Amino acid sequence: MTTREDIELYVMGQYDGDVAALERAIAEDPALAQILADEARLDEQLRNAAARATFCPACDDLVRATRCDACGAAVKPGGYTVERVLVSNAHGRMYVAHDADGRRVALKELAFVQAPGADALAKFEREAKFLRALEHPAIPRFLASFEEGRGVHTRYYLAQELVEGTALDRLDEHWYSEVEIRELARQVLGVLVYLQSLSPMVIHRDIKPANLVRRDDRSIALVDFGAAHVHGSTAGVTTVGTFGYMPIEQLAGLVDATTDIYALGMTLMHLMTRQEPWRLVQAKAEVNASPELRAFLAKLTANDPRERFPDAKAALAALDAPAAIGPVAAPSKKRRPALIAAAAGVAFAAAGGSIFALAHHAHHDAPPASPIGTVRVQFVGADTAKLRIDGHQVATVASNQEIPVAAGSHQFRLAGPGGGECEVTLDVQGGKTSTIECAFREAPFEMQMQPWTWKWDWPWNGPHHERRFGERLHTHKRVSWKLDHVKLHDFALLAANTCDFSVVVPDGVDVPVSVNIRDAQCDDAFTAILEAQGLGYSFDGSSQLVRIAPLKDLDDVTPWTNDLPGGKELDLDVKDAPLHDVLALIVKSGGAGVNLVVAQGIDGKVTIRLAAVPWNQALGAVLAAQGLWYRYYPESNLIRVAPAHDFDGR
Amino acid sequence: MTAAPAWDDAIREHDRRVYVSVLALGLPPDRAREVTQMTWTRLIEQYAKGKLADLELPGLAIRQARFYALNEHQRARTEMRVLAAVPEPPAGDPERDLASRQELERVLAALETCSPQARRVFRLVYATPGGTAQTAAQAVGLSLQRVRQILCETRAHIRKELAR
Repeated sequence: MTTREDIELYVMGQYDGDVAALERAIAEDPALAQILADEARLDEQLRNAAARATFCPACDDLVRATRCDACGAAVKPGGYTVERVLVSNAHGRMYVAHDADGRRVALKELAFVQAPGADALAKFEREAKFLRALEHPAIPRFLASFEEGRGVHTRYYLAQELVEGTALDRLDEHWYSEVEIRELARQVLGVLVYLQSLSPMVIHRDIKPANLVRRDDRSIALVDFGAAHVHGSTAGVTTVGTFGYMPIEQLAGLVDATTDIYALGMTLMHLMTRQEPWRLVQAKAEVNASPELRAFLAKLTANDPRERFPDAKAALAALDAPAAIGPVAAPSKKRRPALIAAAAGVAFAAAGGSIFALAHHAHHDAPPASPIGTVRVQFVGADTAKLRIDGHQVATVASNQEIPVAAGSHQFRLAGPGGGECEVTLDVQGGKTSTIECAFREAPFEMQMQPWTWKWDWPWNGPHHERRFGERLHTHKRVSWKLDHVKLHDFALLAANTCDFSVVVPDGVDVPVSVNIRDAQCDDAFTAILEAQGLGYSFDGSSQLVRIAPLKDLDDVTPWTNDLPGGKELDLDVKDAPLHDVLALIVKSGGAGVNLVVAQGIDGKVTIRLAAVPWNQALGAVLAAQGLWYRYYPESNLIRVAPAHDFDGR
Repeated sequence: MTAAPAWDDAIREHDRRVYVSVLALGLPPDRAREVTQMTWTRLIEQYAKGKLADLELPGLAIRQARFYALNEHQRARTEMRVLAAVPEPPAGDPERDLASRQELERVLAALETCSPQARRVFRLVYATPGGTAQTAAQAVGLSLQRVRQILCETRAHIRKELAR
């Protein structure tokens, strides 16, 4: 009995029954012949449709524009035709694509949930810059970089040579012999020798099995330079890397030639043992290998950077001449400062503070000088002060506190709570203690209670304008903004991200912003845009906190929340969040165990971006933004929040 | 003139397509096979004589096969059900273009309502050069039998949508 399905399969060339019998049946039965003609016509229609349709390379949905509506994957970015998605995560995708000549490329896409932030862009541009300059057979060749879309739809693309092969983390069925491990080490060290021979040297910072691709000819390629760092620059201050593969000092931002050496060692040990690096460290596992290879791996992965090979060249030489590998000694007391410094960096991070990334690190020439020195801060006129090193906030410090700092020249800036500042450049000596002394000027009482008032005429012969603020936002960073009807909340978050300040935006100022600014100083551009909307800001330099408000409301004093108990510094990034939730979150995250009572009838929404702002200052700014005030009852450790007019003689 | 094609490869790649296009005109399988063979023979001869300036496959082979099929019908003057026996209007005819576009839209709209897995199999078989049920099964990690089943279900679904 011949069915329609048989004929369908026959038309598709998939019928695996007796074809001759089927054809006879069709020839004898006009109804079956009709079905055959129908199915053949349908097949033609499907082929025509398939030829003209564009399918999403990620989800196979039909795509009517340049990007899939269902999953957002690109179809033809920059003239490249996407074949498939290799990797997809919150920050973007990696595609396999081909250009007009059919040449296959790896296309890296950077996507944004909000308008692109400075960090994300810097990382992407850094990778493009690195790849453009690198020329080595084991490093994918840079082909092009470009951008598409605008605002939150902006996508950045980086086209590079497609490394065909298998990442080593996918070869989990493979047991590595010692010979293979040595060959792998030799190849990767060869690449590292090249990177370290560049001036300035390039540190990959994320060597791990997933970033090592074995080609069909068994050669190894090193991919993903998104975390790479030019030694000696101050740009790569963000802690990047993969936990387990990076040495402990990398958590504190310390990177040098031995960073990649350590990561290679952990990678080799992972491949040999199939144990994740952190398990290896925890279990103090021994690698089943010859004593020579064990000694080599131990020297690669020594905890103290000074006990590792000083660079890839030395490691490569030792690999080929194992007798040259010296024993790895246990860390001595003399070497403790470096470890203390790294641990201190981790402790800062754990406490919610910033990690001070030490960009400079002494070379390990024998005898090695300690790469870490100590700076003691001494000041009068304030109990605590904010310490910034090389423009990066480190922590809130007390007088006489000692801070471990990398040897080298650094700029230190101490900011007191009253607005006073001291700035000094010091050449920190390894193993020695330097002292910074500062006397904060006592701030006038009025300054503590209400913002400064500046008045000027603008335009000079035009109507009188007035702008008020505590301090002036001051950043030399240059920006180019092209915005078309972007909501003020989004603009504020963009500016805060780009120009590195914290911001609180109250409810009711969500006006659209349309500007086209090229290469302007961030603070000027930000101020001008706000003023054009009838807005202004108050600024607290000690926490880099900007509070936006209508000009008429800038008279409202920000509550001086220093009577509240101390607590944590907060990092927070929320948009249009209910005021109640934000207040509760700030109080809870502040870690001071304070109880919160909010008066009835208080609602609204607030947009806020905080980076290392003390919880009480954050609370003050949010309250001021919403026209609220507070009273603190220390006996009960309780805060009552209510409209400002409810409090007499505030 | 384009470079000499590897005819064996071209026939292996496009023969099924040409054959199905003749079946779609209502020719029985044996006659359709003959017409397809005549088509390839004719193309090879014409190409050898240098009479084919633009060898666009499978389009040219399908047009040639359709021409033979209609001739066959006229010559035999049989009662054969030539469903597309009326010669197609010349290319560029606005009415035909519109009908073609509408038909295409309906197929695409029907395809959009299929499951993601069905769309993937469809793409691998119909929109991938050299795609077959075997290659699709390998790509999606399903058995050949299951892929054939999905293809039949997809065709049935689209057929139903087109019949509305």
